[in-house]
Amino acid sequence: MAYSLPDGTKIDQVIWDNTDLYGIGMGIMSNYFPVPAIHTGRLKILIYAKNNVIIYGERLTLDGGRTRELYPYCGIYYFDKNYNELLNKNYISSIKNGSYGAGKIITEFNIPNRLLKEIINWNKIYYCRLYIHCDKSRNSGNISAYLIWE
Amino acid sequence: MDNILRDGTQIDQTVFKDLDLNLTASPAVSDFIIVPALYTGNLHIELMSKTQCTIHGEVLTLEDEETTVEIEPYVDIEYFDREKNFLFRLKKYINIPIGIYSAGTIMSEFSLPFKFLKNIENGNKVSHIKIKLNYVNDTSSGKLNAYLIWR
Repeated sequence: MAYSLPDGTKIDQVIWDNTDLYGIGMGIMSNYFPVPAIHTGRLKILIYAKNNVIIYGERLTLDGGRTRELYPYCGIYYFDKNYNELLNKNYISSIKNGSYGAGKIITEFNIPNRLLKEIINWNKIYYCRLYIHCDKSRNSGNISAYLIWE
Repeated sequence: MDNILRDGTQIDQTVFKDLDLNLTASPAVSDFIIVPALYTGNLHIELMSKTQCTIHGEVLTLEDEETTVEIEPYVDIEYFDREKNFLFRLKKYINIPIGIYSAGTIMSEFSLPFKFLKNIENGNKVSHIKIKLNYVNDTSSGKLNAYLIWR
């Protein structure tokens, strides 16, 4: 289990550790992770390639037989202390289709918090879950995801 | 020119000012934004609706010719060095949810990513960026502002 990143950044929580991207279905969802400090706006998620990773988004077959490859994307689900879902924000950050060498950052983004003021009970958010929408059947490799402060 | 957000946050730079989503051809590209403090990780962009905004993306028709899928509008970030030489384009970094936003609502917020630049040639020389907002202007309307802030 990692406790700090190669640049010395302290890891606050491990969201995924060596999680396999390959499988059946169109996405992976993390466990609940507590984010009492979310309203500081300083919580950031980093997703790393643990080994060589290939990740693809959903492939759509369009009118006329053409295909369109969507980018995989990350979403955040917000919950209160009793695990009631308050909001889900899909499409926060996209991940470029393709391959990533071991140790490469696949994506990095802050957990949005300012826009939460528009929803009811926004000040009661306590847990989040991270979601990646991707075509698991075409993926390979393992990822790790960390919550850090920045 | 706005200098401060409603919650007291100081605005560092204005990225888009009264950008008309209907009249501006997509992608809307900002001027060069100076970001020498990029590597602190504390620079954020806020997109806020100035008036009521409707924003839409590209609509795709699937093979059954009945189902349609709308792709979310998205933001690209382009990185440049001090001489404004292009270094890297981070495509579709952030998506903006399709929908209607009342005036003064935050449409999207994101920090400027920088850690991944370690894997890019000359990734330590970023001095300027540009923000590109991709959407479909025919089906979008309203005006938005975008700001660079420190957090």
